[in-house]
Amino acid sequence: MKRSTQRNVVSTDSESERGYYSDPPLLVLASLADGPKHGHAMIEDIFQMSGTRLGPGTLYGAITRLEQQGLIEPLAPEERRYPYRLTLKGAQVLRAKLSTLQRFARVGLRRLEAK
Amino acid sequence: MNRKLAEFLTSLYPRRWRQRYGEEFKVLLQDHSASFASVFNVFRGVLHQHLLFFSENNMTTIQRSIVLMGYGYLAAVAGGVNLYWTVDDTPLVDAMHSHTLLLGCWMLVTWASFLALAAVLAIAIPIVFATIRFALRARRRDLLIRLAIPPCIGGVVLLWIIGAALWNHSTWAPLPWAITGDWAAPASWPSLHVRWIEGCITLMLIGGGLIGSALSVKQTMRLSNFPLPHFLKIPTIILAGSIVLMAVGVAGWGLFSQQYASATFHARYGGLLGSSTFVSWMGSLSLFVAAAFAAVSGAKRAFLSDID
Repeated sequence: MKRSTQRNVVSTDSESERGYYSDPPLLVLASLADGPKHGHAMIEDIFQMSGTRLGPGTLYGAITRLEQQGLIEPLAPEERRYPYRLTLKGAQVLRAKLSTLQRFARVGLRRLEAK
Repeated sequence: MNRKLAEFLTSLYPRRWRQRYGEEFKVLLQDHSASFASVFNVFRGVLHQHLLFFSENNMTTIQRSIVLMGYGYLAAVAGGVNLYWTVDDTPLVDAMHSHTLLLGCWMLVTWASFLALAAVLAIAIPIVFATIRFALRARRRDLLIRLAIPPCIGGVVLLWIIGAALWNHSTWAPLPWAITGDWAAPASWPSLHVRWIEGCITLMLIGGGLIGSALSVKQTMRLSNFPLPHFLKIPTIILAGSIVLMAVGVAGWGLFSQQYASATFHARYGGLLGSSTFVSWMGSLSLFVAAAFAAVSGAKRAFLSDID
């Protein structure tokens, strides 16, 4: 990817206590990992998965960028709702990003426990 | 969220975005609760998409380079015009004649601006001619209209200033740097109320003109699907370098003004819309810093254009 759009926002104490995490494009990619979903289903799934409720503007900002980058693609509409699915490139990018996060989290947690 | 609110919020997005995502976004909004947070979130999304409209998506590297250079030069013009009229005809001009460093910074900005103008002409003239040739051959009136926008806007601003000055019996030109301040306006000038209205109209025309010109540069580049000349590298370096020099000169000028003429620097002599020279200088400095970033970024892209 040419430009990183990652944002990790920890805005309040209560949010940091429950491990609030916000990287909308990554959350959208992760939500589509188990199959196509439309916007509303993505918002609910991301909330279940990460505790982060994306606003409609944020979600469509991420969808616009991910589609431009060829990481997701739209499917035929179902009752006026447009589902999206991961492309092959999207799946590769998601795997690479999650692997990096996994390594990062493992090292971070190990350091915390060693304290 | 009810249908009307969803339609209104969707209508705020750029037209091109709406054509692609408008229908599905409207449905999503209707599925969503109408809280203050979600409406605010949509406003943020709208702002973001409109800002992206100014960015240089879907272009080749050389087109991006030219657009960034254009943005940088226009920002430098805005900063330079503001600084010139802020300082012109104020006691700071006398202070510059007494302090070499202050005058040196001012001269640096002046000479760098001439250099920048020469570089811009070297970049723009071949591109404008190539665009006109292409537009005439391909019968692309849309390109010719966009090329005509900057000179037309310049003409409108000039006509407004001359017309309003004549209307004011040639006693006061409607400049937003000469509305009010720590001085008594001559009795022959129009009333303060009129000066505010006319000064604000001029400011809006200049601001709108610069934004309109930036958009016209961007759209001309986006629509110019013909090969652009690749011999622009040296002028782009000169342009970026001269804008960086201007930013350095403006920063130095402000610092030395603070040191040698602090009272005058903080007084309200010729600042924009009656502000102090310091506040007006800060505005110019911000524009020059932004201009330097855009121009350097554009010059870097000009060197990457070979790998397009």
